[in-house]
Amino acid sequence: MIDRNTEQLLSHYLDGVETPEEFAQLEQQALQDPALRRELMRLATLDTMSRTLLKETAAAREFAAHGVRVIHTAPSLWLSRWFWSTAAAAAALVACVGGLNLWQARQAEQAVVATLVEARGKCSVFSVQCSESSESGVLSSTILPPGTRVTLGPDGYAKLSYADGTLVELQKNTTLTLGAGQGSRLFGLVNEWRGKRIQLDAGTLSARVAKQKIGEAMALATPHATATVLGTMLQLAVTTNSSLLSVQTGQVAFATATQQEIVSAGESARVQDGVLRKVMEPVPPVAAGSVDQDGAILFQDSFADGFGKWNLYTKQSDGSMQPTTTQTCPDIRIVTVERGGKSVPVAELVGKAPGGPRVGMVTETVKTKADSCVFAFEYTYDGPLRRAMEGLEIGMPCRVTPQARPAGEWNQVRWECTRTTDAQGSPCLAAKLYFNGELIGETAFLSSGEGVDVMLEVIEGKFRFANVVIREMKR
Amino acid sequence: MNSDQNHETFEKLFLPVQTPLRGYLFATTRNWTATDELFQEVATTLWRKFGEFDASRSFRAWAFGMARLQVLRHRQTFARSRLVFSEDLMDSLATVAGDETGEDDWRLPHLAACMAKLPPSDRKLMGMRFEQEFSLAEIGRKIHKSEAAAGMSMMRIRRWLRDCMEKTMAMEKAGAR
Repeated sequence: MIDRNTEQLLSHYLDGVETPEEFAQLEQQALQDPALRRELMRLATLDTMSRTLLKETAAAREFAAHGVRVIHTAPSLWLSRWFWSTAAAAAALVACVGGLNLWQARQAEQAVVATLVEARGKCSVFSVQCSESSESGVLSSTILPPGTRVTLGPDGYAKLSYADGTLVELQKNTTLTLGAGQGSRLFGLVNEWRGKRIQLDAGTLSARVAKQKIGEAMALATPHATATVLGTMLQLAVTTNSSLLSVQTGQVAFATATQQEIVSAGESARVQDGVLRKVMEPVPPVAAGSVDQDGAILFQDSFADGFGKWNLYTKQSDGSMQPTTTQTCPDIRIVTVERGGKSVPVAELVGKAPGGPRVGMVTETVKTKADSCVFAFEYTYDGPLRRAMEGLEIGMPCRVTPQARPAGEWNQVRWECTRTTDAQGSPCLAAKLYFNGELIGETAFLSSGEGVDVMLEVIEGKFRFANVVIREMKR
Repeated sequence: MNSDQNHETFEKLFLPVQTPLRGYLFATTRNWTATDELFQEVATTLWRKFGEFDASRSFRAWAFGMARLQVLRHRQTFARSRLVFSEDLMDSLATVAGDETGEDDWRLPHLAACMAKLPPSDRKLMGMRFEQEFSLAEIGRKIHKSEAAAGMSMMRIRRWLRDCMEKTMAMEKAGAR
């Protein structure tokens, strides 16, 4: 029997709020007491089950609400058993508690929500017809949650973006449904409803998929096969009896119920009449990246999984930049704020004079990778804020204190930097600073070729920043 | 044994171990991302090495031995942000979890039934903690209580759910007799 004090120790430990003394006490007791070890295992198992159930219940509710078809790409006894037992559990919970609480009507996770950033020609979204003359203006920035069906006419065109920078370009006569995916897992074993999913029923899409988390691969499904993507550029086209996948960068797993091919950069694969094979098709020259004004993302952090990915980015064999290490910085914590009716994670510095907290971000590999790049982030602060400084250091420090919007409002900061040489032929970097969309300064720095170092400092009050992105500049 | 049979045998053995494996990984890392990724690694390793598994021995103990190795391998990574148990305790926890005789056999439908009996305010708390993955401090702010009060509520809910699961399992076993 576990006494109340020990129960509290366990609960504190599982919630990550134990003091060092409590941790030491729990460890010592657990080493000596098998019953306590068993209780810890049971409570931890209960936590993992609760998480699985609640996340899947939410996903099941979203799917039920939006009527999205769920497709299994690798049916097996195991998958079926697992899926149906979980679905039964989720359905039971939905039936029992559904509709009772507002909290349960959780919005689709930001990660799987697309935004329509451009539309032309005849199209329909949510089955609402768009007139030819007004769709772009009307639909621009429309949020498309999982379950949204998009249909383009013979002259239609649309571009979707996701919060992580993934872009999807739709061509004429395309019909698709957006959804959250099943986490792509070992042997088709699905543990959670995670990741983006697009069900392409007809037409052609091009995608530039940002690096996805392991277990949250983006799934692009057609009636014939599913492409599972962790980060690449590709084109997928569907006709009545075939699906053609062409990969421009990276690798994509393309699978039917019985076959799978790994399709690499420069390769294509086709499913025709149920048979999957690689084919000698020219890979379309039109890359989805061309739809973006900026180049490849070198660094991005939405803070969705904490204050990670800081400092260490490395170049992969396919040329992309990927985070390889997670690291936390002192004086910073992740908080959730309401923005546009959504809860989003942001990084928060809380400062008190003198000095205040200060964080530096050095994207070490950027220095050798990009001759020119865009660095952007958003920030806000709570009063009283005596001073906020944002600086970009490239070889030598540069700090700017632009005219900020009032406390509580978000400001957008964007630098565009280009590596060049000065009159004496010494390397330097030219930078343009935009603040809330307005060009407020141009500067040139002598550069030793060292990396991009971002300094954020707050002397007093709270300073919050979000959506840090560094991109190559498109030439 | 052909490949399909091999796969099927593995599935049968692995299926009941999944939930406690995740529990062990979470108990030792307290980090959901690490739990998910280590689970993938453990599952992949078990499948890759399944040919070396001695069928006369306990699959569960073998699986937890493998999980223990993976946790120890990655210990430094998650130790940066959290206090982590000593290797001795991690070994002991793996032994406890790998013991077939102590298996709880908790299942999601049972938990769903128990969770449905919670008062709405407690379900809301569970949603914030496990679906939205808020910290106790964040939950406290949202429900206008202190972090400590949110922690006490979580402790009470865990206790209630554990008791409910035990009762449900006991009733199921009694009904099966």
